[in-house]
Amino acid sequence: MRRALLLILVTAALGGGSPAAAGSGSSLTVAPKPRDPTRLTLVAHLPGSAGEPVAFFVVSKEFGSARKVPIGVATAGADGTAHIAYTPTWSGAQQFVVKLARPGTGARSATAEYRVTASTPGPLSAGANPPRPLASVGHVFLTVILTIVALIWLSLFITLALAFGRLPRLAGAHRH
Amino acid sequence: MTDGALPEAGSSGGDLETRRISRRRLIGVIGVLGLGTGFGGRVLVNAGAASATGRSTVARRRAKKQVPQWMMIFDLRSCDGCKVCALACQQAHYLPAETEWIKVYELVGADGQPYYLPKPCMMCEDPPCLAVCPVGATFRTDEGVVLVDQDVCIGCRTCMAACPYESRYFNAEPGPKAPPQPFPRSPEWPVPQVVGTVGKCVLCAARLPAGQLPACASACGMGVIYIGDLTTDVAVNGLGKTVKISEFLRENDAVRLKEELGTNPRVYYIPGHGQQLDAQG
Amino acid sequence: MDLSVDAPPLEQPAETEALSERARQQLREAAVRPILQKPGPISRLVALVLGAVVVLGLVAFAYQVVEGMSVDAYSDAAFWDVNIANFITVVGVAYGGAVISAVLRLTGASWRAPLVRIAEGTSVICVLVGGAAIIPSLGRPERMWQFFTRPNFSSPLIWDALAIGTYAFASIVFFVLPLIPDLAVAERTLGERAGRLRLALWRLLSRGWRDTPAQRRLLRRMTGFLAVLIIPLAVSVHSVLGWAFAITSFRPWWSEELWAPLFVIAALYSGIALVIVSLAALRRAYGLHDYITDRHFTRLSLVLVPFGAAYLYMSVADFLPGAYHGQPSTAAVFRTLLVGTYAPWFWTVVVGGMVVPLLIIALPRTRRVGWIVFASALVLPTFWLNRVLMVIVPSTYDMMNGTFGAYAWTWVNASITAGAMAAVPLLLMLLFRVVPILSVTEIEQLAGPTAAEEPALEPSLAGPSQRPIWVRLPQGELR
Repeated sequence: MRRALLLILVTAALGGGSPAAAGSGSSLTVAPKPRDPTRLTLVAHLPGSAGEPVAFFVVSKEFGSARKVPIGVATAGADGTAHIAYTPTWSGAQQFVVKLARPGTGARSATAEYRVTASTPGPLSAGANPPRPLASVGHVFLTVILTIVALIWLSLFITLALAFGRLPRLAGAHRH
Repeated sequence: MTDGALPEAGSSGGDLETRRISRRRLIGVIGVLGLGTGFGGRVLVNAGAASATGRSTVARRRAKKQVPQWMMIFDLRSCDGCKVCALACQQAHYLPAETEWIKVYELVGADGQPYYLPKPCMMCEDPPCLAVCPVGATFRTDEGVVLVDQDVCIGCRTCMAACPYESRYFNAEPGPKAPPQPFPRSPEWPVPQVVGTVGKCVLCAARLPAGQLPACASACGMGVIYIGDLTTDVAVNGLGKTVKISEFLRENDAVRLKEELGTNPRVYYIPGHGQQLDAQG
Repeated sequence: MDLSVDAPPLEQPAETEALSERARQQLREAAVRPILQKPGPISRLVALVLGAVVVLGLVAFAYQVVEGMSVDAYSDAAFWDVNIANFITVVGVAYGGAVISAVLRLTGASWRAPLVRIAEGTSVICVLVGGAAIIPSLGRPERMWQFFTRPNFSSPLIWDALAIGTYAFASIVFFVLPLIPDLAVAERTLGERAGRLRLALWRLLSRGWRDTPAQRRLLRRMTGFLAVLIIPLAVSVHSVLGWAFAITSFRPWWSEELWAPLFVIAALYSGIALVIVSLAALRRAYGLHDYITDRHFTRLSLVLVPFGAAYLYMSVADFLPGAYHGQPSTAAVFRTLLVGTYAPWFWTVVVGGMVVPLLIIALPRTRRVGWIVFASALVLPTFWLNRVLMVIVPSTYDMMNGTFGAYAWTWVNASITAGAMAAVPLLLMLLFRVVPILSVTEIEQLAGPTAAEEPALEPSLAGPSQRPIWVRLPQGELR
């Protein structure tokens, strides 16, 4: 946590992530929200993109080659700046890309690297089922039942031992 | 017990040997042994539960490092029922012809019109098959993939009874001969299948860490089948399309099969009847 | 003499001169008659045929193990097979012994005395054969030992194994305990004529039995304890079996709360039917009419009726809600059972297995030995058919698209089934060439001085010394 804060301060001091412009003046900055470092704001500046939809991506190499995963589209303002909010779901170094959504008007794009700290390093899920009615007594119940079964086997063995060990020795005075 | 008419055991006098264990001692011995067995049983149970069921506390503890959580999406708007996914899976795993780990159903929709539904293993988060396996041969990995250890399975097919999606198949006979495989034989890549055990779709779990798509997803020419990771929120299909899972599912009103059963499957379906096929050409 | 209603003890004091010496002699001779008597031609033929069928079953099983389950024409569309139905049927009929030896003992029905050995022997044989009958259903039976090394306690099959194992052990002990005095008696009766092996076994089990009061007391306590123990064990066995279907799956017809009680009642019903049939056959084969009287059959048939009626009621309760609300999956399965492909078999079960036997026993005109045995003989195969329908039909139902697969009958699974069913009478015949067929000691204990009269249906309010015994004495005996 402390390392992330340090990193944030450093990158903030350096004016955001490491913007690598692929076109003159294009830039993309990734910054965490002030009070919540797990949520990010991506700000893209693509000159001449005023009023155009701008697409943001995060790069994933998970399935073979690097693929751009769309994470949002925003319309650039009059000054060619567009921004989106993004909550990443996994921590680690990630690469972000921004480009104009409509192709053709020059390959204006920018990339940025950022080390993400996600708040819940866990999967999205539809939510676990509510616990079953007797879930809390499950283990106790199991122990009890197994103990009962063990006792029954024990009593059966004892019965056999009594029948073949003790019973013959009870041949005392022959009453008949 | 039933001989109330007879005198009490302790008071019968000279008949009985003095070596007889007194009733109290016998009860005490039984009690101690019983408690001991109970505790011993408890230890065994915990050990057994931890190793065998996958429903243990060990599996539920959050993983220290992030692991991918695999899932699948089927975009039925593009499915034309060609069954090449089923064929590719059979070929990749050298399955016999009757066994289709991903099976394409032709169903009738609410409007009376037909549509196609390819169905792999649902990779449920709460799998009924796992709960009923007597020897714990079915287990769930940390990545959420439900697998069968075919060196343990006794072939009782109770898991087949339990699966509400009919996703499990019994290997009654050996399949076609399999050449040496790119992956070592394991539950993630059970090729060739062990005769007399149960097998099912494994989400090509051996391919995924290498970044390869499952056989069905690669083969689908319509881009119906997406393989995704819930942790990174990324899914891709065989045609190179990449989506953000949460948005993709939400925007297209994705559903899961038999949601009401509470199995929490990891396979989502975007409802459709092939309506995007013409658009793709 | 104690006349109070709540006081009568369930057992007689053992030192009674209740049967004359001659009656005793005849009783003991009858008990070992199967051992002494050379088997007649019919017995030999029956044993030969049964033996051949059992061997055929074993050969078929071996063939299946070697060649794989494809010889059964296995198809994923019908994943559970007849072996499971055989298992449920044979373990189920083991209940007859439990009822007759244990329950009737605890309710003080002394007329059970001549029946208990046969009933309990049937029970032991059935639980062992039934337990074995499940093995051909497994794809990898050689891995069964993993039930002990890595059990998954959330699986009903593990509880099946535990319950059946415990019940089998308890049944064996419950069978062996009363044998101890009986084998001593048999040894004295037969002497060297019993043969060396038999004598060695008898001496091993009954050594040291001198019939002292202390021994009788201990034995009675142990037997009483087991009688109490065996009833919940028996109930647990079939309840767990029912739950193996009900909780394992969401399939229509299986996932019903009623299935555990349904299984238990069916087992009780078919178990008593098997005991009736066994008694009739053995009585005829060994001339035991003096001891296993027509009254016994009447009494047993009246025990059969409540279980049959309860099962009929529960079957209605099973089907009615599902057929009414018509949820598609349930409706599909019920439709195929009630009016569809399987309807002839289903109605055979209901009419032949429940309605007709109950009618036969209910009408006083047909409540006679021959008819009662016929009714019981109807129950046995129809209840096997019932279990076949219960296991196979829902497993052929495809939960995804609502279609039905088909179960294939081959010579392999038919032979294994026949072999399992033939093993029970064969082992029964062999059993009584090893142990006495009547529990002599128990009969003598429960004998009363008024044995020559027709016993009343209700136990009298008189004290124990006037409790009658259901034994027809030789002519001219004053007793």
